Amino acid sequence: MARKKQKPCPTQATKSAILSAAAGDRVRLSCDGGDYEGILLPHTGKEGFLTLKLASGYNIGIRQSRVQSIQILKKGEVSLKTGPKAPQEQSPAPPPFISLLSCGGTIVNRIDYKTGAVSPASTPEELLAGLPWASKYRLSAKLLFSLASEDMAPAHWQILAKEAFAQIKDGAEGVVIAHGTDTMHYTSAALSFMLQNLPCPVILTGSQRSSDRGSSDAQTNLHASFIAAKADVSGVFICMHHDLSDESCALFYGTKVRKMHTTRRDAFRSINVLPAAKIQIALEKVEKSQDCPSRNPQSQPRLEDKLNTNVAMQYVYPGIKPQAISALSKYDGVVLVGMGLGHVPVNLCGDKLSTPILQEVKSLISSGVAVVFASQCIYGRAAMDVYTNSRALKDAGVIGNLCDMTPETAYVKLMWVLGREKKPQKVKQLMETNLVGEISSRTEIVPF
Amino acid sequence: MKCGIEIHQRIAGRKLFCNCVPLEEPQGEKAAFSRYLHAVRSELGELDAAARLEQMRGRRIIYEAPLCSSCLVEADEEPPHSLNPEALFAVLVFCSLLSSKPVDEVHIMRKNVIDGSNTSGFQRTAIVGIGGVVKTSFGQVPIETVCIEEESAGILPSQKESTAGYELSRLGIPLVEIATAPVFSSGRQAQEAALAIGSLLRKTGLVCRGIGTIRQDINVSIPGGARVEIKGVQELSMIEKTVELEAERQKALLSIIEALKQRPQPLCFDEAFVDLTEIFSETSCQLISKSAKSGARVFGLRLPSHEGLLGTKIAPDRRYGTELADYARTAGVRGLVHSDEELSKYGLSDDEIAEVRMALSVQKGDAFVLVVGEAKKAQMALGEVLRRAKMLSLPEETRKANPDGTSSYLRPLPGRARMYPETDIPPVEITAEMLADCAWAVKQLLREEEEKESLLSSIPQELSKQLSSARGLLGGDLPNPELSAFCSAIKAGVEPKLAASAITNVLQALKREGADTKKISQERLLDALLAVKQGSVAKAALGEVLREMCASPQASALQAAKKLDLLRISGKELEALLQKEGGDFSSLMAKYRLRVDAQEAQELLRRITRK
Repeated sequence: MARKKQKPCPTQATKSAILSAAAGDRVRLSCDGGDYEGILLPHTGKEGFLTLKLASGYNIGIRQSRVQSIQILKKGEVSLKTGPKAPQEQSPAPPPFISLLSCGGTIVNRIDYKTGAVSPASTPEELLAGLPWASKYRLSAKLLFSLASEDMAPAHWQILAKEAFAQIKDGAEGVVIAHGTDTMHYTSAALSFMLQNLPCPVILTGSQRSSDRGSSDAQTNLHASFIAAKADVSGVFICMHHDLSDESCALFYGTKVRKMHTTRRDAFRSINVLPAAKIQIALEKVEKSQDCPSRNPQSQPRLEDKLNTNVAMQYVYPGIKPQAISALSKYDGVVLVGMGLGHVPVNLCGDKLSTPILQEVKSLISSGVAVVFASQCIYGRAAMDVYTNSRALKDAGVIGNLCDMTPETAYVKLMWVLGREKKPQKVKQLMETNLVGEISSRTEIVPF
Repeated sequence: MKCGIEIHQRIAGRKLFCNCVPLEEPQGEKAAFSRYLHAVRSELGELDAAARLEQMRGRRIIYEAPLCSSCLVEADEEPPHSLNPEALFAVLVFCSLLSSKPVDEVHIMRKNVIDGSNTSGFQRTAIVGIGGVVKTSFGQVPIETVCIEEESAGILPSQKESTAGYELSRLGIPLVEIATAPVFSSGRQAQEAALAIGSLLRKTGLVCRGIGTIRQDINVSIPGGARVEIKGVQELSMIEKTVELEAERQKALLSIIEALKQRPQPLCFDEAFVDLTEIFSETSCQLISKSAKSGARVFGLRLPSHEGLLGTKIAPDRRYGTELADYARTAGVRGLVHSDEELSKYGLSDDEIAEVRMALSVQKGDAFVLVVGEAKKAQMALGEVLRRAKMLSLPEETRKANPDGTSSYLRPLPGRARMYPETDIPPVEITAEMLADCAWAVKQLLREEEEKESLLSSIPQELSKQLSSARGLLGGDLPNPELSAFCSAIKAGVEPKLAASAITNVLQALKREGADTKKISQERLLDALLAVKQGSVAKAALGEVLREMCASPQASALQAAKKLDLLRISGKELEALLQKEGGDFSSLMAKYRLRVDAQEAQELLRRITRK
């Protein structure tokens, strides 16, 4: 099979032949050491290699320097942009009218030939293609963004809130939002504040395994979200796997949820409260918790999408430099993600080696920056009266005593509060008052 | 006939994409969870027929994950780690031994498998080498590809029809897959080539040993037939029979097709399946009455001009009807009943049969099949039967090897549509350094091999044969520890015949009587042989000493001999003993057989009498 040539290196002609062959062409490569026939694919690895799909379906990589000649057997044998087409037919009866908004994320991922990894590509219609239960819904699908969730910014939350609001005004009985999981809990918190007095549910969902694999959790999560979207609940929620099995999903309150695992299907956990509901998928059953609000078609929704985005979040750690805190003076608000019950280094005992930041925090506050405490513990409530150290912070004007908000919820809320209030006293009062379920009045004995 | 084989051999060491070490019998806690898998398209937008079928079944899959030998990667809860370099190295070594040309970049692919045997819904696989040859007595057999793959999960027995169960300790073990070109013209050739490849792999010491660590898939087609892949032949000795029976099966099916073509309108099928449940409302057929209680329905299908053909034998204990039943089973029913069977054995009355024939408009020369099950499943099953019955050429199939050499239909033969790039792992470049390391290892291996050969030639041929085939006598992690022990003993100056017979006779006998000879490592055997060589233990006592060493795994040869009071008597002491026995050699040997070297005693005796 080996066909030896005079010149071991690719000639200029070969190089240009490689250039003229395009992804999707059937080619024969004559190489030093053997010939290969297959479909040329966009290369996903290092520079200097060609990727070839063999008849068996396997891909292999060939060093370009080994290619002596390339023969195009069939130009454009396959198109690399084929995806499943969504069934366009609309059901005649009036099934529940659900709006599906897509922001991107793993749930809509396909392979990206540029990097070889996955990135958002499909449309919301493609998401539902071939799903038998999807025909039970009247659907309005819209692609808002094709973003990995780490690229979402507060401006995206505002667009999303406006669109969801418009859909509800248009009669949607529920809104399902496909979203990347990494920052889904920021978005869910933002929507919780921006969409108030909702008559119906707004449900964010995503997936931890991309929908181009047989084991994807996307279908289960989507199905559960649609079940929840038509259920007797209202408010902003995240709907994701309840455990490692594909049998049930949990419905989490938008402000009391956090991604707690990098990879697992059940990465999202309810923080400081029980989930709003558990959804048994096969039975299409929603088991609501006691406190989960019901649907209320009479409710007049309000769009409150104003934000002051000049807010920062600062992790506090042993050895933090005081300058790190002083540098925050240019912001209108800062969330200090501090330690335990409500602590940052204050060194009231005057230890020589300690580097306190109490003075810097005080200066921030006196210069008009709203400083809010949220705990790195994630679970539990701040209690800033227990230790002298935290009392010093509270006395300095740090906001957040007795609150049990996650750092992310506190950050989003601070933007929202500063978007409508400037007076420090008023900001403090709003931040420490439960507005949309972000602060629980009592901490139940739930596993965490 | 054209026949090719694929050898799947587990590679020793940790798993292919995580750091779990597979255990044969995992102990301790297990996690459990359940999943549903979905068919997905390849990157070319194609949907695989086999995957579509499996999706149709919509089975719930239950997993058991032993915590000691599986992690989040096997549970599909964490992306794969990078490709295990030791396993890749092993495959490069195999490529080198088979003269297979390594690719420049290894692209990990996802091969869609949604029967649940992989939690991810696909098996990760990659071509490492292309081309190559293996030597056999009938010439060089060309190799098509050498792949690295991950092992699938092990099946949990006794699941309900609508569920499948798997255990995850096996999932992710590295495998090498070696596919030969379809060049065999007989089952015997296929079997010999499989043996040759298997021995070559084992020789490297880089693979797992034991039951289930190697298995063969066979591809067979005959002129006019179709390519059929028979999966999972575990016994090497069954390859020949499996190949021959498959060729027979295809021949028999071809004659059924020929017969059908001669008959009037064999393809005039009714597309609708008829619900016949009412006919059996008072049936004495247990199969139907039992299922009917749980809501099952009976559906029937007329097979035009098929009379007599369903009962045609195509393999031992298998008829054309059995083939159709296999197709029906893929929809999750138990099987089917057809009109070429003795229907009274199911308890069906003549009246019921007559009514069925009427309801299905069965004419003379027609046949019919009945399926019992949940309405949707039963209709799906008949759909599969219809699909198969309509084929007037042999279908390409994936089949499961049965222990008796026959095979059963599993699913359509999957094509390239089930391949999809693994996006979680970038391609792995095969560097010049990797190839150099591999070349060095292969050289080393071949040198050791040569050395072993030359050492083996120093003992009688019969003994050397026995030694080469000795298995499972010694403990330790090395491949073929018996041969290694023999070689190291000879290097240490032990007499070759003694070393060989210690293994093939002494240890073999001990094992047969039930001693745990695996407690004896290569080093401990050498210790015992050196004790003989240095004169501390008599040759005759070797068996006793080794038996004691099996029982006391910590004891050295000397300690064992001491405990048994079997230290050798020689020199002055032996001379005194001989004197005491009045120079009677037989009396001495009768009393001290195990402590005395007969040759030495005889020489001493000669000296004494000369005096």
